[in-house]
Amino acid sequence: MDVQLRIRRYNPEADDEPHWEEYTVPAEPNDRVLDLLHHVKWYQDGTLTFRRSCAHGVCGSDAMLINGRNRLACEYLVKDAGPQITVEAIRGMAVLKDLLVDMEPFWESYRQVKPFLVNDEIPVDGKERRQSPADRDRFEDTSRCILCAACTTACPVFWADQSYVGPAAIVNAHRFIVDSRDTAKEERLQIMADPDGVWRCRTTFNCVEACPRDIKITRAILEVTAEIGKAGLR
Amino acid sequence: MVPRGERHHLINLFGYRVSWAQLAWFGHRASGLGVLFYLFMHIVETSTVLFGPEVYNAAVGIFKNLPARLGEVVLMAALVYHALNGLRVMAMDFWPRLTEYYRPLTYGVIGATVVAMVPLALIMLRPFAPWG
Repeated sequence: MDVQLRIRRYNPEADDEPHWEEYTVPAEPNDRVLDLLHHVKWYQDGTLTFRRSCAHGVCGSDAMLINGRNRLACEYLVKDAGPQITVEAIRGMAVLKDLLVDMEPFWESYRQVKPFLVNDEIPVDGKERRQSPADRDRFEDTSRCILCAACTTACPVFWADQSYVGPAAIVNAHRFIVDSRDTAKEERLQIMADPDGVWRCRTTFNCVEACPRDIKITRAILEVTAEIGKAGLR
Repeated sequence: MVPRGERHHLINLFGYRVSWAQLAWFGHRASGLGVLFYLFMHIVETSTVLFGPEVYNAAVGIFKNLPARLGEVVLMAALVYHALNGLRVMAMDFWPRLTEYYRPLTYGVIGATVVAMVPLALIMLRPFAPWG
């Protein structure tokens, strides 16, 4: 079968505005949208620019706005997408070229929440910090984030104002805030309690719908707000 | 046929196929602003009493007709929806676990608004109905 692929192209060196271009691409039902993009780049127009790495839904490089929703191009199959597919860059980020966006503000928000275990104390047995299975389960869900930015760039609050820290950063803060071994909980909660932190969530659930890992993002966000309340912060 | 997993995204808003929960949020904002607008109008209307009973009666009389009553039915729907959706949002704040049921909860709020509005609209429109 042939698929009509519409791609929102933008070359800052040649174009004033982004524009749509159409390509007819041969495809099998089980092909992924990423395969179509490869076909265009390899056989039709080598200037098409996009980001991808593992191509198997693990690295999170190829989040794109496909058929009106954020998804990973490497996970979305032609048989689900249909014969007409539109692809554009994720929103709220500066487009560098075609489907490639500047991820730096996203990483900046991520770094802000200190996404690493903070604990300078010597473990009780001198070797390892033990944790009950129940305590481990508290961050099982949020530890699965692959930082693809599909959630943050699906959020209407983020579209309107990129100073919002965004769902992805909150998910990664949650992962350590509820970790019983971590000692920087209060510091992280302070960051989350900032006016640009968790309070800006409007529970629209676009993030939950966009997440390729099915992380319960809004639940994590509301659990962080509950922790802020318990800690007596505002 | 809508592909599996796509059924909750039938509406394209500003080029993004949004979730029903985002539409619920949009409706919450719109109904809130609508009710606020009505409150301002109501204050202006009642303040005409300062200019005497004739002016007040004339101002109130503007709203005693079918189009204005239909507007009041929409106002009532906005109030009912805003109240129920507000309860949904607050419930999720208290019990984050409820977010896992956001789809049925959102559909429930919309459904309950429709169900509540049937008798309310009938009562409100009775003075203008042929059987009233």
